[in-house]
Amino acid sequence: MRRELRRSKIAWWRLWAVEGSFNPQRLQWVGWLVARLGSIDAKERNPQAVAELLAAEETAANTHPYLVGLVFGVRQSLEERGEWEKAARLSGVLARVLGGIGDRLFWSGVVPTVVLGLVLLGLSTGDPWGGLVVWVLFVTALAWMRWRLYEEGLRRGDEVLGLLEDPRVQRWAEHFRWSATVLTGSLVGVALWRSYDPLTGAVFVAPAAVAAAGVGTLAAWRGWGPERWLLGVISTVWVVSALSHFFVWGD
Amino acid sequence: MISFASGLGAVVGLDRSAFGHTLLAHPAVAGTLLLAVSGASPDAWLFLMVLTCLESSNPVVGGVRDWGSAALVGVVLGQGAAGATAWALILMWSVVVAGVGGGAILGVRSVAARSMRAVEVAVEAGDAGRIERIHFFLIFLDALRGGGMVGLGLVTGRFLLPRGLDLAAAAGVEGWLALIWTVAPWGALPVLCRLHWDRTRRVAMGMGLAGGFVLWAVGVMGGIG
Repeated sequence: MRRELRRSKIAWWRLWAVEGSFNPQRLQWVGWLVARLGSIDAKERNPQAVAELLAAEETAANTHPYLVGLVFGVRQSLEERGEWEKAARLSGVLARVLGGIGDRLFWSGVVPTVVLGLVLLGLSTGDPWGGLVVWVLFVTALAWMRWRLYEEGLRRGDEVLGLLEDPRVQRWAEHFRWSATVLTGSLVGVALWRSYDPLTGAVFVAPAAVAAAGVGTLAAWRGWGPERWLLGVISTVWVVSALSHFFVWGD
Repeated sequence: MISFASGLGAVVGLDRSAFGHTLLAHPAVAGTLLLAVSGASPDAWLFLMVLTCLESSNPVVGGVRDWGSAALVGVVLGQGAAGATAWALILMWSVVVAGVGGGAILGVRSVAARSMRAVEVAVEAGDAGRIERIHFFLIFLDALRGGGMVGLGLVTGRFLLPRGLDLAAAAGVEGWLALIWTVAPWGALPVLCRLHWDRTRRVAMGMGLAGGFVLWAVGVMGGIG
């Protein structure tokens, strides 16, 4: 029966909503089911066909949301050739591998670079439009990439496994992580210029600022949450203000 | 502005994980979008930068917080309130909103976890429509959570902010609060540096710091901004 199912291309929104029912136990499972449903031809979507199609699904599924199209493309390509068991097994492996690649390339590379670049642009120019152009370009590239990966998966099938060994992926991840680090350092300078002017700022701001930076460093390396960070900054300012008042002006 | 920000909050809530992942849930992007509509100020940019730094503590500290909603609430509250004292209170309120919003995200995920039995039954029965309805409902909950969080944060914040300012004036701690806002970026930046610091990329951080120092010097000496 399964071999006779007619396939259709998955609608784009199904690939964008794989995390819609995300939960810690089953992760993206329901999103995957909904995406898989999109691959059955509408005329053949009867309960038996649906139950058979979804029976082979793992009970929990997860991969990088930007790269999920490749998993579905490869799976659908193999199923069209009648290789159902191989398709189910390979999509599980592919999902885990792409999850790792995506985390390295996007979550710790591309995304921080775009976000920090956007803040730096806004902070330096004071104009939101430059940042918005960067964001729109990013979203356009993302939309193109998601669809393109799905189509590549459909076209190449299990050949994509060779592409995953391409060392360029690792190099790109490193380039973006490098850029994020440079932007972080640049942000320090611009932010300090915007927050405190030593030529006109109050004298006792300088020790308070240095102390706050010390507390921030402590918070960062001790792994404090934002609430404890805020309490740390508030108490530091209170102590430095009290000390400045006592030593500089007397009481 | 509250209804517009809440609508944007719903979209940000969707983008947090349910639909898209287009970075809109990051405070930098959500805030920039709102600033483009409502008008930007130097303090608003600093505020977004501080939230971006605090957001970067998530991978190190763990936990779930809703920085996108916090950014929208802070930017809108900041429009009517000029001065460092008001921004210090807005920053504190935004940290509260991020924490409560994080709790709401966990709540939605808990509802999703409880719906899994119903999905299993639908899978066995081959009921595609029911699976999709559950999926859409959970996506809708994320939008509702985002919009509701921003709306609630703004209504409560607008009530609390003027009273907080009056209280600070009566207690004579305005200068102290203003100082907290002035030094907040100094305290927040090490949190960001911690995430991107890597022994293998010292040169990159050094280059950034050198470039940042030049920008700082040019900005201060030139009196830019």
